[in-house]
Amino acid sequence: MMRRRRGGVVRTVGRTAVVAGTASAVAGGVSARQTKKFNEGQQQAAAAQQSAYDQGLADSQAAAAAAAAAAAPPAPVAAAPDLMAQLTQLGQLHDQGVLTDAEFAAQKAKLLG
Amino acid sequence: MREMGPIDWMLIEFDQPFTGKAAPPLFDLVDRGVITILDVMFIRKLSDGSVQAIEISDLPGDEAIHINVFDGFETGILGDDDVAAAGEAMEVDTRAIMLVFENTWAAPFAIALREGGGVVVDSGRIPVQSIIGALDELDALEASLEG
Repeated sequence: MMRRRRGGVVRTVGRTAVVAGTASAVAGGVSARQTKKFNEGQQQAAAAQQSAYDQGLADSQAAAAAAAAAAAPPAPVAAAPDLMAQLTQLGQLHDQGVLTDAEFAAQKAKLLG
Repeated sequence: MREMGPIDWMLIEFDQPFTGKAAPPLFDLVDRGVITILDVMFIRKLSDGSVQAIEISDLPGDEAIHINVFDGFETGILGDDDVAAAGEAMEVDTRAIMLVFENTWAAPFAIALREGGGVVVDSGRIPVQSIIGALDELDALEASLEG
């Protein structure tokens, strides 16, 4: 015989509306959006990589890092041509751990140099 | 010390005898360490509206066999007030199983969060209608921008 206490742990119990057959609709809608977001991220990543290359911003490693950062949601803006934006992006990459302290310092010096 | 995951409860009502059909997928979650059952209670609401917690052994033989797998998971965490609260939500002539379980899967996440300086401020459950509504709204917004 299970001994039960007088008190309780559940505050109120209500009835939840059952919505049948919605799982696939929701999953479909969500995955369609996530795929789209992913593709957008890929395009931004490519753009970031290209502009990073054009500006001689970095060696291939940093360009790949920029691409990776651009692909991460929420996607940051692709590398802007001005110095401030490049520095900001470098800082973000550093904060995100994509760039090590040494890599960050080297790239920053290159930008400011 | 092991970190605890968030603890949920669930009341599952049946208007027919227990078949034990849902037990294997549930215990699969237990075996895989996804959840940990903290208490289980069986409740009956009779046609006169009276509500009572029942023992597995109170059930007819074949029914008891089907849910015997829950034997030993009862701890007494759920109390009389929980029986009454469950009874108020239950339909007459039904039986129910009330579960209290830990979301064990969330424990490693909680540890990592804390180590990273994160604090879970709040969390909750979103009605699926709200998600459908949000997706519909997004679709409409995009259609209006494209059109």
